[in-house]
Amino acid sequence: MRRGLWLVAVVTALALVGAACGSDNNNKKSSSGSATTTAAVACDPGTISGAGSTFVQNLVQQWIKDFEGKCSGATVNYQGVGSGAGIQQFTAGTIDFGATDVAMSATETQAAVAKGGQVQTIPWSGGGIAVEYNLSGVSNLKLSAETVAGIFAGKIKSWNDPTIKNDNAGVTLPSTGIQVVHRSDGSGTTAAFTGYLTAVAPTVWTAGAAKDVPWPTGQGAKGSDGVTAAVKQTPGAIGYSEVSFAKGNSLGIASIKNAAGNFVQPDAKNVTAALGEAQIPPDLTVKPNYKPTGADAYPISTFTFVLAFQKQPNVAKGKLLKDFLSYAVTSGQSAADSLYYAPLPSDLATKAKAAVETIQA
Amino acid sequence: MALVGPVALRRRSVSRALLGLVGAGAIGLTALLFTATPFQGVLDFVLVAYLLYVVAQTAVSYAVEGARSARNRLALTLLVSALFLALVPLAAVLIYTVQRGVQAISPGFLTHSMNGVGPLEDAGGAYHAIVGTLEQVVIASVISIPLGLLAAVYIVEYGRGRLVYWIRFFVDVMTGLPSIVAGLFIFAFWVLGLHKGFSGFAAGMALAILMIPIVVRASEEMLKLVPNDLREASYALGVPRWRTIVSVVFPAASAGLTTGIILAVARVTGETAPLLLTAFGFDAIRTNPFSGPQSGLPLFVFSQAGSAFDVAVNRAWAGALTLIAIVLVLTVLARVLTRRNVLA
Amino acid sequence: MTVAAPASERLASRSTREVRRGDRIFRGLSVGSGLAILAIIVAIAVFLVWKALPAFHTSGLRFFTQTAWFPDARPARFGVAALAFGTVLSSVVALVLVVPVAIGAALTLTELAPRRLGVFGGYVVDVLAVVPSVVYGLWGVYYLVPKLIPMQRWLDHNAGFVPLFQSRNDTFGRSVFAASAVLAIMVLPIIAAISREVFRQVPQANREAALALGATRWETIRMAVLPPSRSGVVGAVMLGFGRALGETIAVALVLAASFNVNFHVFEPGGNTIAANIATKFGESGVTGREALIASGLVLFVITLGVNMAARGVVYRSTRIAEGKV
Repeated sequence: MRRGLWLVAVVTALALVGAACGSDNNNKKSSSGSATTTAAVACDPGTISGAGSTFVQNLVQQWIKDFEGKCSGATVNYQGVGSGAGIQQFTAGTIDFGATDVAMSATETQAAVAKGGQVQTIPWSGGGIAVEYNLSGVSNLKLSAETVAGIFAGKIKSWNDPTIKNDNAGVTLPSTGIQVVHRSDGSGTTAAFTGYLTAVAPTVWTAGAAKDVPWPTGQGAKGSDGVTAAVKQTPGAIGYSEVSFAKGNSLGIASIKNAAGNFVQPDAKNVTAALGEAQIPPDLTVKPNYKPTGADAYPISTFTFVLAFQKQPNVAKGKLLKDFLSYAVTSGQSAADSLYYAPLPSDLATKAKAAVETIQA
Repeated sequence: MALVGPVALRRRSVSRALLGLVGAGAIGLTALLFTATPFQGVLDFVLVAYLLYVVAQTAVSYAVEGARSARNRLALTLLVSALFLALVPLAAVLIYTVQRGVQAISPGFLTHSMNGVGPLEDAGGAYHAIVGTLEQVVIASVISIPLGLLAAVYIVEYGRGRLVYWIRFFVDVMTGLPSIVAGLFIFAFWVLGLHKGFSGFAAGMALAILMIPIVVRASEEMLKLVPNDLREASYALGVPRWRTIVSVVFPAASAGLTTGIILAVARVTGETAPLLLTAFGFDAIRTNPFSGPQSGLPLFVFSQAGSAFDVAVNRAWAGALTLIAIVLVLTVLARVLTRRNVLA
Repeated sequence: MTVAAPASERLASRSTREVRRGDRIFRGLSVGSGLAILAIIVAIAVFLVWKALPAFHTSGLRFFTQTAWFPDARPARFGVAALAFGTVLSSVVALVLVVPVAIGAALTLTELAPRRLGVFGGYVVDVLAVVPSVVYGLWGVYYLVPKLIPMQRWLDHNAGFVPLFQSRNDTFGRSVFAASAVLAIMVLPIIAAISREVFRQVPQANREAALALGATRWETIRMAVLPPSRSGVVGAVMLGFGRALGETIAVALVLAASFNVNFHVFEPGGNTIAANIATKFGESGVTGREALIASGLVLFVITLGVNMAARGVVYRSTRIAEGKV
């Protein structure tokens, strides 16, 4: 018994000693690419934390690195816990800003307003959703909207189906069965992807548009991580995820046929072109236009938002939050491209900056 | 022949040499099969050779020793094979984890958190998770050890009648409580019900629920082993009952109690599911277990394991190696203490 | 003398009082701890029911028949039918895989191995029990799943007429079968350890009597060891079943979550209650969380039932073995 107590004591002591030598600093490698802007940032010291969307996580982490580099004394934490959990933590008041891929629902807004007053929903980045595939020997797959819908609806079952052949003249397609991989958890990515399918092929895709839908076919995987991993492991698989996941794993990314009849890749400029055609409502809860008419516009594009209370309860934190958000929607936008996100269209960026300014701290 | 036991009459039995011959024949035939047919791979080879051996051995035994002996040999061979089959996955899990973990682990892994690490960056580590796990397990121990030990004292020293039966019964039932349900309970009760939010402390409570029945059962077994003579000698000296328990029974059972407690700690250290719903996870170092979401080593492994990026999967293996090392050290420690146990 | 007697009496009664108080406090503490354990079980049930009620209210009785899981959609549609089916299916397949191996291993350790080897083998099997489930899951995804694919494909191509072995779209991998294989490895130590205890309790005289009659060792096991152990082994298997039903993380890592109800265990897909909680928790809204708690309540009730039945069987068998009944 006594020995057991000793053990506990030793372990606790080790933990305390250990607590002194661990480090949160992973910035030894200087951040690349995006830190080139020389513009000075408004800067207040302090610590703020946010949580939510996993979609925007990579970009926010880059922003934090760059922002902290320019503003010593400021610490920003961000946890990619998922949009749903982000909204809940934001409403509970445990974080200073939330991040979500889908604007809050009426009931969610009601709960948040009851807790902390008026909420600002500010778009702070955009991104394309890549249709990623694993098909050896096929490097540039082209898909029209109806074909994508047909595949994910389970109506097109093999890779040498005539509809796919039609889109890809001159390419030899194997007779492999198509393995659809989709998200098993609710997600903004799914909402945007199914929103696209519903908009462009309502007769083929009938499962609706939501953060989680009754998938007619395929296997589920958790997170964009899980989807990408499953596609990577399964020959003949097709899935959807943020562009960064597909690029980071060197998976094939299908070119999607847009309204102008061109097959386009989800490059930053193509995504921004599509996002520029969205209608901007006064409260900035902008919905993407899934049928953009631009020649290069990539149709499966979406926005992602940051949530902040209009009236900040803590002045010091509020000031830092404003500084950080201003940085994000202005010079921070240039970091998007190298991380496979898309900068906001310029008029929307201007409106987002104005919305940040209205936050009272 | 059928009525005469082969044990009694050993005249005609299969010799070891013959068995060796059968084994060699099985391997040879398998090799022949592999050159002639599209079979391949080490696993297939072992499997085919094994099946051939079992069949041949039974046939030889049937011919030489008779049906009963053949059945006996077949059954015993299958039983021993079952033990080997049970040990194969253990070896596979340990060897593969150590292999991948050693490749993936780096000096910075144990001293850095995941704060601000991009998804493609080969950086960061599990320090924050290790700190979290230590705190959560200490909290779980502080709650469950006194409670479990005292409950065991009640069962062994005081209890009689229906109440003891029901406590023992429900402790046993609690042993089978799914860990995710323990997590859900703390989530419903502490996080949602009392609006306390996610924290390392909540995780500690969830782990305590899983740890209590293990502590009770182990302590109960140990306290029962303390000879009654010791207690009676103590009473005869006029020592009150509670002092007898504290200063005679506990010391006598101390090695066994410690073993049980360490094993319980080892068990809950590896629990992931309850952490998911109570500690929730956090990328930076959080030393205060009361102040908000915290990470834990198993949770760290789980979140990195789901990733599509090799750098994250490598971190998961490094974390798994660290976790297995902690748990195995605790288990071996417990076993060493058992050897010193005078009662066992 | 006349003065001393009352003084010592006073002393004695004071110390008796103190002793009584000490005993009372200690007794109170230990009774309290025992009752606290009962209270925890009751509290688990009460809080799960309380927080699950809104979800039951939303979905009504369809909670038990609906296969889809869209608690945050409007209108909400969710139910545990597919999840409960997947939970039971994966655990049953795991048992089919593991029971012969576990009992065989336990018999080898108690009946065949030299004593020292038996003890050591027991330790090794126990180590299997402390390997964390997340490690089994990780190993399952990256090592076991790819290794099982050729075997599943072979069975599908050669025995695909049996629905159990058939994969309708010729894909394998993160299937119910793979999850069951991982579950089998995880419950093996429980079943083996309890069976070992049960076999050990069979009186040595039984074995000696059988051997003396000229029985072979296998006949001894079959006639003298197995019959009195039957209910104990059944209890061990049921405890393993309870453990498999509630296993979360390994299944969540291995299974490709989908909400279908069929017996094609080789096809990727299928889901369990516990794994579903782990995957859906982060992105769930308010109703989503209540629905997950409701599904957890169903799991709690199922495992509670299985465990209580198992304990009942084991209790009875040990009492029979100890000659108490």
